[in-house]
Amino acid sequence: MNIKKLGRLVVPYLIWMCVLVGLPLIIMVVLTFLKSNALDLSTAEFSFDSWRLLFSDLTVRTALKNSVVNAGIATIICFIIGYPVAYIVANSNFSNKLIILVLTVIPMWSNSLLRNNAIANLLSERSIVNDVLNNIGLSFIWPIRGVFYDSGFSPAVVIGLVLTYLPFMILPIYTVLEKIDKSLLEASMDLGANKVKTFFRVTFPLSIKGVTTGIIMVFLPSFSGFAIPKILGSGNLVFIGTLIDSRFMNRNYNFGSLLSLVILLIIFGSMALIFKVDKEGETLI
Amino acid sequence: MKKIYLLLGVVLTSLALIACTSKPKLYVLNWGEYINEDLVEQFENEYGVKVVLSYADSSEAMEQKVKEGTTKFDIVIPSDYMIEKLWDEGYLQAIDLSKLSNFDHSAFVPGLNGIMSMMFQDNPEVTNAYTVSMPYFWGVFGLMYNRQLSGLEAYIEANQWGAVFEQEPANLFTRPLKVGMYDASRLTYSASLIYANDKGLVDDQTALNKFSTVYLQTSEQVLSQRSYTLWATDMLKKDVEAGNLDLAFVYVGDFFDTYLILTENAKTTEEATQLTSHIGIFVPDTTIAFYDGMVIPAASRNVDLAHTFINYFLDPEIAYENSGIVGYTTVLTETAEMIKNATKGDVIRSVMASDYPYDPSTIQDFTAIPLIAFSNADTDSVAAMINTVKSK
Repeated sequence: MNIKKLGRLVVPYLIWMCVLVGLPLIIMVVLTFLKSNALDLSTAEFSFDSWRLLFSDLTVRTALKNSVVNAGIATIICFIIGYPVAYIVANSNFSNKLIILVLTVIPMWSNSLLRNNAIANLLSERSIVNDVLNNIGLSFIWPIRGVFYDSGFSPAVVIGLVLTYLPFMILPIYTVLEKIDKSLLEASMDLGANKVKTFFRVTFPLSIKGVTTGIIMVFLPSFSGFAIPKILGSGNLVFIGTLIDSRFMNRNYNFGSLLSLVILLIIFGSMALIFKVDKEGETLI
Repeated sequence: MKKIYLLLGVVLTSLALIACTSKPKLYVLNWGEYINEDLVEQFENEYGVKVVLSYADSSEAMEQKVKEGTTKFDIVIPSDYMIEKLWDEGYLQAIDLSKLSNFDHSAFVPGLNGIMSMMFQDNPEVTNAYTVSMPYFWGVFGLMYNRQLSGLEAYIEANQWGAVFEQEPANLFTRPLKVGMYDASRLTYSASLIYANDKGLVDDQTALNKFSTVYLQTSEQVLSQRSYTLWATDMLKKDVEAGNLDLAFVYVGDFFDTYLILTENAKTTEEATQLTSHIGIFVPDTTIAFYDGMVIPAASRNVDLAHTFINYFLDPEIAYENSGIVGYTTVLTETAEMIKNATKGDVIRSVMASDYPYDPSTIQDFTAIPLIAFSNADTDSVAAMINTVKSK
């Protein structure tokens, strides 16, 4: 069977994509230029209101900033925790490394909303954690839930994001580290480099693709999600996800669509940047 | 041999699945923690049906789900103003009262009739509001607070809504107050305008039911007067109870719900009083009244079963069991009497109902105003205003 014949197998997928991705995208773009009650096109009129609002509304800017700040911090923390874990597992002598990886994924088997609500409880001022601390004589009480800074940084939201998305950082980095040819490391040692130097000159550069993938897979959902900020953010901070949720909830599909497109553009932008840097297409997405 | 077991397993599972789908299904859209699920199970067994419960945390969210039509709900339980809106826009169908053997106009508590008579004032086609929705629970809004913080009770009584919307004077309490706000834009907006009217910021008793850019600005100004520890819905009552909040704007029913949960295992009324000594509820002189009613969406595919379901919850005995879990105020006089006189031996509930503003019709000297529906565009503007407040 030649490649042309195989190519036909793509057709169903293309149709699928057109109907479920392409068409909705077009509808979203059209909606941004309308003023309509939800999807009711009979009363819709042409309007630039949504676009005007996008550039004039301070709330959008604050929401974007809050989302970037929290997603950014969460991604950095995931990297700081995730890389060593991946490195240790990849270089360990465990007979079954898979088990350790599965252990990192196990928390994901429980519903993430449930988990984040539980985290919200634990981070409250009056919680088991603080009660125990109190009872053993530590008067350390930090009501993490509800605390937020002017920068938009909310420790509770970041904790929730890290706990939810950490496996997405560990797994791609592990995959890349696992594949590194050990003879390269030996060569480096032979040539006089110590372990630290070998790590920074050989291992880390070789694992950068996995890191990029990890960063994308943690940052994007953290940036655009709305459930975690809603549960852990105490409703005090607007995030781009919660803003879109609120618009769609009140049947303003026009501005909601526009905000969704903004997110989409940011995502495509970052992808384009990555593909430009990553010419060989080795990033695992 | 293994293969035979596997095959048997597959056959049994598919049989079980077929059995599931053959039962008629009733799709119910409800608020969270707003039904006694044992009664739902009882209903399922009695009528050989399957009830599928879905949840929403605001009337607007229910509106969205009904209009989307992804799930064809048979029963939805939105609040008064949303019932009016959904009816006027043609998303509901009339309830056939002749199918409800438990229905009786005079069976409802007096205060509720007041709200019901105010429904559909600008829609003369609806002559009987009970044909649109069947009241489920009702009540008013109030302020739930932490009774352990000394001076707070007196402060709330003196300042009414101001206790929530104003920054308290420094050093009045041992620490800054932690205040929670109900995160449903329409409710927040209306409450802030009641406060604005109390304070003379607007001169309009009915401001809470009007939308204008001036009132929108007033509301924004009021909501910006202090920062809130938490914007939430069902979390508020839990956080006041746990001591994470000192004060929150909630449904009075949220307080009773918490009360009943706390006293679940209490044997005596003294024990119940002790278990709930840390929480209190206050109803401001002017507040919002509401009822939540069961409605049948026009798209319902199981209308008869929906009627059966409505009828089931009109049975005073069932309503008694339901309100024992939900905590909100019952709409049926007979059920209210059962609670008040502790005819079922539930002394704790009867004490609760007499010690606290359980039945709004028995509270003296206060005004409770039901809400009127806003258009989607207006609700969206209100929601946007609240997001602006949060992003400051």
